[in-house]
Amino acid sequence: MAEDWASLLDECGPALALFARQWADSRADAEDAVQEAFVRFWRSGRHRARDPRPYLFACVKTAAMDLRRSRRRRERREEVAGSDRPEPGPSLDCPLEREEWRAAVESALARLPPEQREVLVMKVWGGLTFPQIGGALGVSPNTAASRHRYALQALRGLLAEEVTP
Amino acid sequence: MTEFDPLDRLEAELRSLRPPGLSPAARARIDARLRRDRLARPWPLAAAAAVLALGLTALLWRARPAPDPIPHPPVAHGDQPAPPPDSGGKPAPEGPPPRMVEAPHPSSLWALREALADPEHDLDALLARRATAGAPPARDAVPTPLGRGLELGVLQ
Repeated sequence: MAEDWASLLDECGPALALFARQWADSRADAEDAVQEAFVRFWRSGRHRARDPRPYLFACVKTAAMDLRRSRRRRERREEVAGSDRPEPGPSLDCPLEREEWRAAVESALARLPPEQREVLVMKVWGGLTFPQIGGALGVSPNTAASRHRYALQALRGLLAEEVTP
Repeated sequence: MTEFDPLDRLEAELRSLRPPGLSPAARARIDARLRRDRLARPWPLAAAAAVLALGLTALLWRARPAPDPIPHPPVAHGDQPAPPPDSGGKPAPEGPPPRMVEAPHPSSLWALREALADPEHDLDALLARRATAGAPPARDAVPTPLGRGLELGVLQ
């Protein structure tokens, strides 16, 4: 059984962490969300879900949003200034020579509408199909496909702004 | 959509950027939590075994052999009814079953106690007067407090 969850985590973990970064302030928070979602999924959902990967993405989204909500509440209660939040680290890995490209992509991704960004991450880095994305987000496959298309078009425009001085 | 679609090319370039894997600390935390779950698993198994044992016991109890029925000899019309099995062979008494005497209410007992304590009530004279008047001896003319209470009419 240990090998089962380890292989599933090897396969999906990086994409899940990147997916969670949309709602997490830092990489550590994203990993916390992935951890919480994965343990919850493995305890109760793995026998019910026919296709574990879309279900895992849905769990991660819920866990990351819960984590962000509780962090915001705690910050309001403790009146922590925004500058005290952990700095978001890089979300993607690349060779050094492509560092500028990576920074431009991350900046452009951050400016995408959230509903387009989540579809793009699930499709490009999660490797999910449009029916799987639709199932995880509760939308139709056609809606998922059109959001993906809009996201790529918007990203192309944003990258053109970022890269060209 | 062709191979040279700029959006497809952009997607391929995006895919070349790989998200980093989970840190070893995060994997260790997941491993620890899942291992804790595995250790806690004998409890549900024990509960399931207990429920199964209870169910089997109930099934065996319901499937136990029924006790032998007591044979009743056929009663001919006009004959005396057969004696009950524990009557020692005597025939069953005829007539209505004996009347059940209800226990008196505590307030009636209190009235009885007061009536018996009253020296003006001559109970023996009252009983003698009844006997000379031809009244049948009352079943409750027993010299007991309850019988005297019934005689005096303080008990219903």
